[in-house]
Amino acid sequence: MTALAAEGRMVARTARRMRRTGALGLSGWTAVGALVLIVLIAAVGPLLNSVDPNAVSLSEAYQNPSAAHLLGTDANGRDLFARLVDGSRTALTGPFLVVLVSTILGTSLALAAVWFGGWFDQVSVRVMDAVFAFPGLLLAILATALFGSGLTAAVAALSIAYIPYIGRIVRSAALRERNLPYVAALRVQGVHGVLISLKHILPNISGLIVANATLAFGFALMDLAGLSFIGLGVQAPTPDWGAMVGTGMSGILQGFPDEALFASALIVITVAAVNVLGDRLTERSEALS
Amino acid sequence: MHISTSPGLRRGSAALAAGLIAVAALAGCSSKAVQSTTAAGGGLTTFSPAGNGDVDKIIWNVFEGEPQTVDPYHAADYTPNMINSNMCENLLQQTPEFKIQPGLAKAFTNPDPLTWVYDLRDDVTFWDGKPMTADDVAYSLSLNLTDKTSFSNYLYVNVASVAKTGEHQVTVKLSKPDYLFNEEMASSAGVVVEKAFHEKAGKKFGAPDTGLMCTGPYQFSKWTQGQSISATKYDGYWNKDLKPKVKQIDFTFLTDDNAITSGLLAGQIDGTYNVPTSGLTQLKASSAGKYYEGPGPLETTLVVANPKGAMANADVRKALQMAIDWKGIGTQVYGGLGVPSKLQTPPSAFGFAKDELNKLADSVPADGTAQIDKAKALLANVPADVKAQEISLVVPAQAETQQLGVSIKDAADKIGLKFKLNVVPATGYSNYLYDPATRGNTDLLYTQFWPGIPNPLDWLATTAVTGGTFNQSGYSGIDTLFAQARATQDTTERAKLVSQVEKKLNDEMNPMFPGVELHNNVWMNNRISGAPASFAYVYYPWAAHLGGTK
Repeated sequence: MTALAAEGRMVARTARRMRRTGALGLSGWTAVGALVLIVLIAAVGPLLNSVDPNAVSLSEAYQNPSAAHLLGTDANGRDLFARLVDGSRTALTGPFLVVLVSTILGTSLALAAVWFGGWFDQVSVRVMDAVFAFPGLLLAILATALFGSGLTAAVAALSIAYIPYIGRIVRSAALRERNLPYVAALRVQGVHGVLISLKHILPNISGLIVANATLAFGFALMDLAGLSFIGLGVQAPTPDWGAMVGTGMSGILQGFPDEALFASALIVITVAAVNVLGDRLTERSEALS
Repeated sequence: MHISTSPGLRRGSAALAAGLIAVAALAGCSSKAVQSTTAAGGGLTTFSPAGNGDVDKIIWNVFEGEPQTVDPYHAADYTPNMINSNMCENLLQQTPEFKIQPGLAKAFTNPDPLTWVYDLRDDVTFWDGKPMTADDVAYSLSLNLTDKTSFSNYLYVNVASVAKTGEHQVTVKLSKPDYLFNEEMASSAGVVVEKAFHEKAGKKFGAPDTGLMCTGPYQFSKWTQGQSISATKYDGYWNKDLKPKVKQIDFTFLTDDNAITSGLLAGQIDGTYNVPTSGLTQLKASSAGKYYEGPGPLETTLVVANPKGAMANADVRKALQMAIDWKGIGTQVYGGLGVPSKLQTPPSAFGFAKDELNKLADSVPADGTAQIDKAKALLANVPADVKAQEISLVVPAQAETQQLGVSIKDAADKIGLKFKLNVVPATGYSNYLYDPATRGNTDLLYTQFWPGIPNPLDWLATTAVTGGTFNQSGYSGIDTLFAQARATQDTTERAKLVSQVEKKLNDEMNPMFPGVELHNNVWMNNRISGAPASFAYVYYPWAAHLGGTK
């Protein structure tokens, strides 16, 4: 009991030290390793894999893993390994676009609101509050209902829905920065507001932005996979992890859970890795500030 | 401060998270050993063993979800028909053996080619106790004639008048001979409703808060929207040979295969038709109930919906049909329940033309397996600009139909056609079938349907003749031959004409592709038995056969 308590205290001390120094730590580097591997699979996997992920062979449905099909086949006799590898591209591209667009727009809006202040700031905050109150997934479902199922409408809707998440955080951090003496000094020197925001405030809060964008990536991945799971995201026959969980559900009852399990596992691993990395980056950002 | 604490994002991810948990949980409950099971029931059966005991209440699932109405004039789908077949009856009756026999009309005569006389039963009452009169029957039939939105309106194309000609007699006068019309009185075209109730209900007839007034063994009781429709047995039912043993049936609307399977296995649902394919293995193996397969004129097909584009080219249509692995689809997608059809009309609807059409089917070389090389050879002569046009197929977002769509896209890809698969929400899919604006330029549509009666003319009237509900492309190539067959009294001559029609359709591969004919199936838990296993649930009071096993 004493040894356990001591060990616990040691772990806590190490964690505090890491937070103070801003180190990623073992969990952070493990997450980085997992994400690098997944991104590498998405980038070069489909080029190395000679099996067509969409090739149907009904007579080979639900095959067990073999040399010809490393992870077996799905209900249509398609190679599961090829589909998981190819599906990593759509699974990662969608969230990346959501995060990219929402981060750029959210950050720009927040910096402008902070700099101009007054009515512009108030209006921006109210607009972000309004969007924030609307569930992102619901917005995406509405968008697919209006513009048709598929990744484009879902990504566009989620990009808008995610703007407040980034914007609110960036605004509060930028507000803090704006009141610091170095900004006042720059203003006295006559440096233009746009330059101060982009060249001085933005770099100082970039760690926080990256950390939150990383966390947002995980959530966007879950949301988009969820949309594909219910048939509103990536459309058949394009491989996608979320869609594979959906199509694989029918295989589970038939005793063939592989498709749904493998796709689920990849989603869980990716989201967990992104979340861990996001948390470590946030701690790092706080430690450095 | 951190995004991870945002409730909005957590809500956003909840659906998938639940899915992932379900995957893990269900995967834990299944194993590959489950697949090696034997089917209960063995071969095809018409009826499951009789259920003789009285039962207070059962829950039966309607696999295609909640209907918009149960109005027999405006409902023509699995969901409403499965329910109102137990409530509203027709002048003639189709049996689970696919035979036509007297129903609310005890006899009929055809004194001349332009006259059908129906002698009505005098012991039939509506649920409110009022007797069924010739006025009710004449009114009911006339609705099909006057209401252009009635599903069966197209079957009244040759009807000049419907009139009461005796206390228990109704006469239908035709403008030209029609030897399809009489048998259609066993379909919803011959449905009888109470005149006074219908007039009062108006357009709300069959709606949740209005219901119906018919003569069947079960009466409309309560519709809890989003949840269930309840039907209770009618003690004054005229047919003493078909006395209902279940006091109340609650029809529920689960559409998710996994939920249906789990509900059946857990005893929350007592039975279902169209057993989910993904749950077949578990349900067949389960000791909680019994599974039966029966014959059925159910056909999964592709309808050519766009008269323009690449599908306007006969060689493209034929090549695509050759490339599709219908045999594999019947085996894999439909769990072995599907058998490739050679002609556009499914064999179980051959009816009076059985011999002629079987002969024609035997002469068709295709066996449903994919013939990629032959298809490519056929496409070699098709102009490049035709082949370059994209062909679109719309299927509803269900496990089986998506699998079907993927297989068809793969076939098109293999022969070099430009093909796009559109998967749309299942709940809105029927709009593609019935609404030209929704359909737009869609080239192919998935359909799975059945003939109103076992008669090839009925099938062709719906699918291939101008004005037919499922003739989406406006195909008119058989109109003349069809009209000739419909007006031919001699059955042998009529069968020959039908055979000519089928040959022409097959040669042109238009306006639909022969697909797979499906067996019907039913699963009931050990509490109940008796449901017909054949595909009778859309036109026959099947629930009156249900009873307790104890």
